[in-house]
Amino acid sequence: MLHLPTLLLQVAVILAVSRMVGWIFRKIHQRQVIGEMVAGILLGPSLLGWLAPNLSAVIFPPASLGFLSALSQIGLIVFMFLIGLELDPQTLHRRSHAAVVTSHVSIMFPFLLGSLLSLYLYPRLSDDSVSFTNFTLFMGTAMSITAFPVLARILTERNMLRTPLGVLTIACAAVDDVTAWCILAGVVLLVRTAEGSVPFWLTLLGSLGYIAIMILGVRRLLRKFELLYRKRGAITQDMLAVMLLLVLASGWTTEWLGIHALFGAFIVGAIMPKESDFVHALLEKLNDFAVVLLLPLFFAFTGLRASVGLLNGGEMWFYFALILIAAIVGKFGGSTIAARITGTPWREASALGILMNTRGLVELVALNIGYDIGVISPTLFTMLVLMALITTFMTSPLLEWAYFRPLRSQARRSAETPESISIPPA
Amino acid sequence: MKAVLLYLALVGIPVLAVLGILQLGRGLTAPIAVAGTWNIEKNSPITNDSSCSALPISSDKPVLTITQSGSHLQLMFNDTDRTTLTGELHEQTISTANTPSQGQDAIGLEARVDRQAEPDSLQGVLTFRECPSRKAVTFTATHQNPVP
Repeated sequence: MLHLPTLLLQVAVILAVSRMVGWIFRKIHQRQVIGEMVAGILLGPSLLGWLAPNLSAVIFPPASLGFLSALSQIGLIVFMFLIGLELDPQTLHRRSHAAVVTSHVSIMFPFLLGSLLSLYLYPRLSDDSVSFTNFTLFMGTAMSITAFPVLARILTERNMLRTPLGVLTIACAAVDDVTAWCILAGVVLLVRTAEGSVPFWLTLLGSLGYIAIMILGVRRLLRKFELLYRKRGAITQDMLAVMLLLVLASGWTTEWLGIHALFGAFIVGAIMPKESDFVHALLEKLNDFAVVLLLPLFFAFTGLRASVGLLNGGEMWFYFALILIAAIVGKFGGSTIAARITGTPWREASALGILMNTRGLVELVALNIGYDIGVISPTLFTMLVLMALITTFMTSPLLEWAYFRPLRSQARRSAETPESISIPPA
Repeated sequence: MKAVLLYLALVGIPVLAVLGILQLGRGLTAPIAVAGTWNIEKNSPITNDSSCSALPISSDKPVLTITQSGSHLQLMFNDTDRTTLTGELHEQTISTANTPSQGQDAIGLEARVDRQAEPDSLQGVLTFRECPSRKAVTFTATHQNPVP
């Protein structure tokens, strides 16, 4: 039964701690969202539950977590819609040869390392209720994810979005994002059809039919929203309600089909008209509520599931080190080498690798899906959450060190010695 | 032509390698799944001893929740202390490390998983290292549902 005071206390504590830790992270030149992700971990058994188990039991009694989970899932559905909304299919169409190769390598290389690692980790961190194929496909996907929304914000903040590096990065991240969701949907489909009575081919056909209806039918309907927005100059509450109804209906359909509700929300966002004013207006309407209130609930719920205490002993930390190394080498190494081979200078190539290595909350979404469908164990979930935090945390300082600082030094040198500037021949 | 070759080398080879790994890994076996909630039934009477702390299975409906990561297990009882043990799974036998949480008596658990039963069942015994006057308690547990 819902105990409203407990739920209100939980939401208040999560909101307060998230803002506080987010503020601390902003002070150390990190993004607020990373602080909020860390806040979630701190509120879970890794810190609060370990330091003050009685207090933790009062704030987060196990029986009450169902309601927190439901709230966080609704927040996530809205957020996945926003991720899809920010994904402009034009960035996929405008790809250069370099972007095609780099994006595909940046998926396949970490995927390969994740798969290779599965040979070692499957007998050690999984059980026979999970097939090796599902485990490997999930590990590969978890390694190859890039946080498209976080990247887009970093590039915008750094005024890099229109630079060749920014264009290449955003194109690669968009491809990675779409590919990762497709593979993940496939894994969910495999797992759920293996458990249920509905045959795989039927679910697959249903999913393909649903996507066709969304792209060919619903997409046209959504264009009317844009026209209506232009006519009225704003997104009215009625328009917003209908859009949210569509998101919920799409989420319900994909959940019913056997792929997760989050995919449905993502697809509605992805097929929304991408006229920038319209997207901006819609983001303004939903972003603050989703990001400030609902997303921290999801981080806290993730943190309540992750327990660093499960990594007890050197053996577990060794497995974690392997995961971290595979994730970084796969994503950073794969992206950098591919970009370099296709003609991108070393500094830009390494900056691209650093940016692509950002996994952020997209990884957390994928990990929670993997945990929900039982493909990953609690310990592996914790290890992958820590990997996501570390790879996201390292982006800003590494980018500063490997890209911006040399760039500034070069600019200073050029300013001090004007005669050294090479003038291209006419 | 160069671009196609480059693409095949950088993307095609890893794809083939992943397919090879999926084939190779089919022969791998993981430990049996024991994660989830187990309803406990005590087989032997419990002797009350005031010098010993309360039994973790003394409640009316004792429940054992197992969290599993490979052969590594965390076992938690539904008693007021939420007695938690860490253990290992060797083939079909669960044995705990006898290192309980802070403030709890050292409890040992050894159990054998019967997967032929429907639902899966556990035949186990609880031992009490720091309370020699208390005899070992045997129990049977049936699998309620798998978690995570």
